[in-house]
Amino acid sequence: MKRLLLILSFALVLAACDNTVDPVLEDADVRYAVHGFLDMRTDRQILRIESLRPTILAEAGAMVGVDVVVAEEGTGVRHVFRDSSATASDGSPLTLFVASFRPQAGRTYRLEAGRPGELPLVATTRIPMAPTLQFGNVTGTLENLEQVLFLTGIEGVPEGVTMYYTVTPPAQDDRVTIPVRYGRLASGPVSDLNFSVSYTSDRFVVMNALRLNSDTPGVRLGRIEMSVDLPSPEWRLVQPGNIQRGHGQFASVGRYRYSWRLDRPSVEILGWIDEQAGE
Amino acid sequence: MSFPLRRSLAAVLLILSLTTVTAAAQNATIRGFVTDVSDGQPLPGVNVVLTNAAGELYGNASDTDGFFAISRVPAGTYILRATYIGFQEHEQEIRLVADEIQTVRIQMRVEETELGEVVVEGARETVGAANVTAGLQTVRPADIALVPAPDISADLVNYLTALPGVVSQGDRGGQLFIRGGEPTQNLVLLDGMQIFQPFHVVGFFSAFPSDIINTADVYAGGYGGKYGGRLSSVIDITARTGNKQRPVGAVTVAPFVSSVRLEGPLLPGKVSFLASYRKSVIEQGAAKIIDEPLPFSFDDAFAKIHANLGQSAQFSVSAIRTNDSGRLGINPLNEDSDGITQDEVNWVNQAVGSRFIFLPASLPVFAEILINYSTLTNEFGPSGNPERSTEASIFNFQSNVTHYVGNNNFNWGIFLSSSQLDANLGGLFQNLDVQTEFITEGGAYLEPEFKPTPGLNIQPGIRLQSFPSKSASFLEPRLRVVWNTGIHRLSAAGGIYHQEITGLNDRRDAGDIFTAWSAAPFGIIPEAKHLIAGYRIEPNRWVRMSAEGFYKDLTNLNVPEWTAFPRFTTNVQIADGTARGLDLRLEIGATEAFQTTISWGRSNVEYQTTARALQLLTGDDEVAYAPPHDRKDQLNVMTNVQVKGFNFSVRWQFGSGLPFNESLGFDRWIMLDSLAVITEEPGQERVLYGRPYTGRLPTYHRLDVSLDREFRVGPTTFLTVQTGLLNAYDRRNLFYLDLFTLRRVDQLPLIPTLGLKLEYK
Repeated sequence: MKRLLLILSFALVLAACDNTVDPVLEDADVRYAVHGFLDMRTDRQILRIESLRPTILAEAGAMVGVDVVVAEEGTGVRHVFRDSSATASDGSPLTLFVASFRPQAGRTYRLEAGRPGELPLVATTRIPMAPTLQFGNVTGTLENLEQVLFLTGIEGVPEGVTMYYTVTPPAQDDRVTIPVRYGRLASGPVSDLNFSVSYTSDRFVVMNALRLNSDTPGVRLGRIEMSVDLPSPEWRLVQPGNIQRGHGQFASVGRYRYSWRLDRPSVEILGWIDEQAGE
Repeated sequence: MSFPLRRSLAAVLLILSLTTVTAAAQNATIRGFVTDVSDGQPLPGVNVVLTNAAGELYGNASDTDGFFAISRVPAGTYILRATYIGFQEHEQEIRLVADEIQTVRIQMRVEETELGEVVVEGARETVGAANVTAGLQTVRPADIALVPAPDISADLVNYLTALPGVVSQGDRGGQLFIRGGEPTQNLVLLDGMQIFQPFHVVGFFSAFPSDIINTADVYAGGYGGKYGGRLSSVIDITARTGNKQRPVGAVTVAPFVSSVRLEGPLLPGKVSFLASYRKSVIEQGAAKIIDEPLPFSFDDAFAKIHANLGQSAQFSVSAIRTNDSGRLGINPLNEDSDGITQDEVNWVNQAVGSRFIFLPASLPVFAEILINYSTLTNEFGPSGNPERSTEASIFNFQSNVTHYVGNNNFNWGIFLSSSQLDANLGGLFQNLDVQTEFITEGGAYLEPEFKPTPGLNIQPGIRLQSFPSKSASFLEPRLRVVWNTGIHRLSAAGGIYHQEITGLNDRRDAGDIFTAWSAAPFGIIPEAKHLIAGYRIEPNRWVRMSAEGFYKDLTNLNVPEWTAFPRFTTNVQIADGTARGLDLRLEIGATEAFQTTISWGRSNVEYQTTARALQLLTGDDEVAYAPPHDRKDQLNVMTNVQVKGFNFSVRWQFGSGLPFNESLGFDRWIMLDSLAVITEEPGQERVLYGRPYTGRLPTYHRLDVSLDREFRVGPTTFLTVQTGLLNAYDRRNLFYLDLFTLRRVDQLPLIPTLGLKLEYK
């Protein structure tokens, strides 16, 4: 009993003398934060990865020797990223990791970042699948010509919808493609969405882009397309929960393009000449 | 616990009318006030006993106002004796006739010394640190004087922090956590006036210097129906009245504070005034001694006019103003040339109130009417450009009545208050839209006090609180039981409490003591249930021991949300909690020559929440964590020795480490959306927290010593010289560690003090 009391007293004295404090959690396996997303819209994928800093005033740690690989689940294809130095708009240094590939719809990608011998940061994301596009009838006159479109089977929140009009200006041979952005069509996740394409308004934007008056004749319509960007569920979440042994945000964006033929009477209502394929 | 208001009020009124009728039909009652003849001060704790020829005894003790009442006394002739340590026994013959209510004034004279010296002030009795009863600790200036302090005039807070179960942030911050409660859950009253933020920015000082205190009742929980609106504790302070016989005063100079106190008669024997002013001189004094910046300043001013309106009534007006300013924490986003700017906190308390007490001629009743108005303004942020501010004001009316019916007392009261609350949170809590709010509160309480057998005191109570502006009412049961049997005292207390007006603060940051006052967010009113059980033993006049266990069940608390967001903004979230613990006290010594107190408090405070953000962070459905005031163990040892006029005090305090947040590190965070350009955006600095409060700061311990001696320099003029050492072995106690910079802010180092007090008694 005496010995126990002696040991307890000694422990108390030791504890009382200890005056240091280490506020940084010693989790040796959590070293990095990743910010970025895999993007179906481009062949060049960029991720920003940094070492966690012990204080706000500490310089960002060097990323030399950190291997960053994205593997496509199912096929096992591995994409190795190369590190690259960059500078943020405020002049602070960034380390970006770049790889050349275009992710595929519906595929799941697994990111691993770490030095050899370390347990790496692991994060996964799945490219949303393509929704199905269906069409309603074209209605209205030159003042309000529109068509309702139906997107079904949407995964996530449609982030960006853009119409593309490929036209040939009067007395020219070269076609130009004019984008008309519709922006976000929903503020939260939806599975089905219907929205109206206003050909009248879009015509105004297109003619403006061509620096023509709205009623200028001779414009030839070659193609109508629409793209929909679908971010993965991790988009806009503070704590997405898809990252192990690390922090940040890792997501993906699917982009899907659809084209269709606007019927000739409608094209003529717009004052354009129909040169769409398939007639 | 909402219920129909009208039915409850009717029940209360019915009980009160029955009580009054019963009271009027009893035998004779004797009552009155006991005062010190030398200055007219009320003397609390005086034993007043009636003895008749048959040897029958009837007695009671005087309360804070010096008031006593002995009722249901059979008609006859008695000897009335009043005894109090340091005073001559008062004795007079009393004749009581049936149904008479006789009011007397007892004026006690101080004892002369054996050498026949003229004594100008009687020694006032200490209550004793071990004299705790069901959570109630009464404190008198003599108790406070036992604790070494940096100021020659002692301060209430220095004594409070020596009590087990009371956790302070240390030397700076002015935050007291009582038995698991947060500072905003303490109700602090001075002469009935509510003081929102009463503890000064330097932890040794409060708005209550010992010189102005008559008594302080500290309820660490389980308080009765007279009090409400706070979840954790009540500190009810009664200020002294000024000297009614002659002008007196004191001037002090010390490295932390200098002060002046004046008091005297306006109408001799009837009306007196007391005025006190203290101002910190830390930057000019203590900071120079240790050659270290101590960016704190404060001052407080108190004044009181007290009038005896005959034998049966008294009236007083009190006013107080406190002003604090200090730089505590570090805000790395507000950088100056050194890269670091400390945020500054400023607050001002103001209060004015009146108190009227009277004894109706035909009823054995003591009645009190309080009317007061209190305000607080508080600002926080970069100096000269505060980011957050709050203003709170409360107008309060309360009437408390005690009917004396034999051994039993019937206490009841009514209250009405109106508050105005306003805050600019500077985006601190993003899910709150704090607007100017007006809250009206009304209610009543009934709390009979039964004494069925000698030594047994049972005090059940019920308090009705209603907030018409919030359409909410609460019925709060209370109970206090005390049983004195021989050398033993058993006590217990419990009750249910609600707090509609809440203080919101971001406890994630120890350097941020800004508190915004608002109505309970989301209309969810915090609730607490208290249970206290205690035992006290006094085997002989030299030794007293007490043990008291407590349990507090807290629901609907407002705590800052834990997210991976940067710390400068957050949300308020709801949490529940429990606080449980055991306080042990041992007091040795029976004379002024030697007193030692050892107290140890063991407690465990835990909050639980199901907030979504914490679920995401931890993966658990419910997250339990220790809040930052969960000090597991606290030990205090105090000794006071008087030898040949020298008064030597020593205090050693030890506290186990407080919880703090550990970080995983920092990153620069970018919200991924359609506008995010990760190749260009610098990102927002973010601290990555682990689970809440998983770290423990180092233990806190410190030794303070003081030595003082009073010299008579004139017939009634005295000079006291005090010298001492704060933090005598220069322990580097941590106050604050900034996670962003790992910069450490320590509590005060070794500081020698020298204080002078010139007093005209």
